[in-house]
Amino acid sequence: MSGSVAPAFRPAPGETRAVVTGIGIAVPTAASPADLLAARSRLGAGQPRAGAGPDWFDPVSVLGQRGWKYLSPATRFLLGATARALAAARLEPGAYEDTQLAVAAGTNFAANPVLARFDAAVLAEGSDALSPAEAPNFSVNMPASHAAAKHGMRAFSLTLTNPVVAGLEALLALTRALGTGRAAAGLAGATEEMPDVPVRDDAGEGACALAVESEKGARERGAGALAEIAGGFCRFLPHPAETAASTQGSARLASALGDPLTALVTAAGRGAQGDPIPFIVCCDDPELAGRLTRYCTERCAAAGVTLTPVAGYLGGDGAFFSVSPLLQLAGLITEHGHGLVLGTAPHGNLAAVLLRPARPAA
Amino acid sequence: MERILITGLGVVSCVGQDIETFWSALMRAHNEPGLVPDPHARMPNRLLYVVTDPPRATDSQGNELSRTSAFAVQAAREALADAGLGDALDGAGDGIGVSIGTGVGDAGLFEAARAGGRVPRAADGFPFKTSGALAERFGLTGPNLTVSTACSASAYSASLAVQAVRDGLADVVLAGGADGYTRVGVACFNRMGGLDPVRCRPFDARREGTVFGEGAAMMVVESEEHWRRRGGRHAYAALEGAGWSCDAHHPTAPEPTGRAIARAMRAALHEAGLDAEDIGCVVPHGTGTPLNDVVESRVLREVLAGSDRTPPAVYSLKSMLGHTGGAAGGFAALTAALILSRRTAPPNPPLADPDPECPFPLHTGEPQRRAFGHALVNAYAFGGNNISLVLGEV
Repeated sequence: MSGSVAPAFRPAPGETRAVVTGIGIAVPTAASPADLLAARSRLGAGQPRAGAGPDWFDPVSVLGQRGWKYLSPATRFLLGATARALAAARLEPGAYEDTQLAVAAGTNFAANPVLARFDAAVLAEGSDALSPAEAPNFSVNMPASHAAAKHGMRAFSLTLTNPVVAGLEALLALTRALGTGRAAAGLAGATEEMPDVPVRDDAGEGACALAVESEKGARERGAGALAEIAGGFCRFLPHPAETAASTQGSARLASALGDPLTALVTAAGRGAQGDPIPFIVCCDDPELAGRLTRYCTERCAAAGVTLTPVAGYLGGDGAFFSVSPLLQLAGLITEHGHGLVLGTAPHGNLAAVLLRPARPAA
Repeated sequence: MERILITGLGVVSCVGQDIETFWSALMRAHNEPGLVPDPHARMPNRLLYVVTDPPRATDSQGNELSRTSAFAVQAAREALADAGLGDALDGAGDGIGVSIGTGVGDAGLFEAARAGGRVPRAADGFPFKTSGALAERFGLTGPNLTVSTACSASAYSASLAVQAVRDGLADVVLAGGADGYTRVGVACFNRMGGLDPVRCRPFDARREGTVFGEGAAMMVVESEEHWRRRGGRHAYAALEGAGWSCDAHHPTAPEPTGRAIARAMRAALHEAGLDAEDIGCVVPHGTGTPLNDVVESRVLREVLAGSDRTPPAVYSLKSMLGHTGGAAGGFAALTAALILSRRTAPPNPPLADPDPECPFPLHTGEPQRRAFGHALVNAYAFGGNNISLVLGEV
């Protein structure tokens, strides 16, 4: 196809600068960004396991006494994470028009356990065995829709579902929506419930959400920015493990990853004064993660940008599926104030988001 | 602003598995639902607009794809061929993007396994792999998205495809939607009392709900500059505007004042740089759900009012296809593109008892033939995920 395309999205000069102003986390062993860092220090520098006890999320303490009984666990997790993100951002109702506030969420398994439970009921007893109050939960967009309703966000509610990378894609979609004027602020997040299928033995569940708004909007309401969203991309690399390992795959690897990545970091990616960029590959396959880390580091070095690979945070091995890459972003923001996360799925989905340090207020 | 064109179309539907058969069926203006192809469907209402003789497909590892993904692969093959993108048909679609909307994704694979008393294999574990299946099959390494905003998913996927092309992230994006039958989906609508016992009959006073359908609608979305440079054969329509909104009101019921859907319609017109009187044709969401049809009709009348010219033709697509879920917005946009390019709005299936609360006249008997100029497409969903698209003649 044409070689004229811009490989990665990044705001043009003069366009809206999107910033992260709050982080909300609701996963086992972490209810705040500080917990993410503490969890890593407890578990060492390797890829921490996800883990999950059956009662790790207490809806009464997080969501209150009422209003959550018929919501799916994935919806409850996302409501917990979004409430924490809004609180951290001090983003109160009325700060923006409700028609300017949006929700974008990624998920892979928000509906999967619900569907399995409903299907078992239908197979055993028929549709009358279903609860009418719970029936809407079969639709995977319910977590984002409930978040929009809960927080009165009426610009749009978007749910994306690509394996593993959907949360990063949701963040990019919301960022782009700020640029096009479809929204002025909102929540980008991801949520997962423990899958009902044996995708991996160490799967995790939970949610992560980021409050995102324009730099200008944040400043006008006196909110501090944690980091700026410099841009990103989503692509597809067929058979990623084989392609990354073979010399025959180099052209395809360059097209799907190397070219968009270097375009992204050279135009927008330098940290303050050209500082090295902390970099995490969020991937379920350690060998592939190592190859991609080396490949990306070398490609960027050739373009004059230094990536510094750092150990992943909770979920760095993709165990929380679409939530995992957002947890890595949350960790990087908290520890470094900037960074780059590349998420990959076994089937070939790739997405990357680059954060740069927030500019100090004038 | 550069125009973004629809340059290829492909369908798998209950009335045909290629564009010409599909169009001929719409022109006949009659269709009836069948029954779900599932002996395990223990539910009182088992009506479905079924894709008979469904296509099957496997991934590169030989794993059988879901009904949803197999529909998508076949419709995509037709759309890419129609657009003259033969490289992609040979698996070399580098740089082409994929943006697919689906409500249920690959859930049918899991249901089949459960009905057979098996646990789905780990290889089948991720439930939304349709966009990946398309990317792998046709070598489409460009931007890749799967949108699951329930029944508005593929209208959102089309809008995001336009955004990707407009941003210069790809010259070409394969966009659209696919949804295959799922037992749980139909069972849940049974339990919620959301199904019509006769047929899908939007805007009929005796409607009692919707009836689901299934299929895939695919569009090749392309920048006009790229299409001209490669000597593209034809273009069906331009995707000129999109308006997004969210009711933030209720999990299943539409917000009764319709203010959010009005906002989406007006935003789409604004983005297209058009006034209400420029709209010559409407493909409404029109599901047959009692409240949806009343609210949408009222808002359409309000938004498109103020003109003494010929009223827009309204084409009620779901009365032919049923409600194809996440594919519905894609089917509506594809049909609008055909209506604009052929300057023909197929006749609507006759209503036994038109609802006076839905005052838009639906032409029946004969098609309307004229240059419609621009078409408005609406797609709404559970959770109040609304979108309107505006398409224009090329």
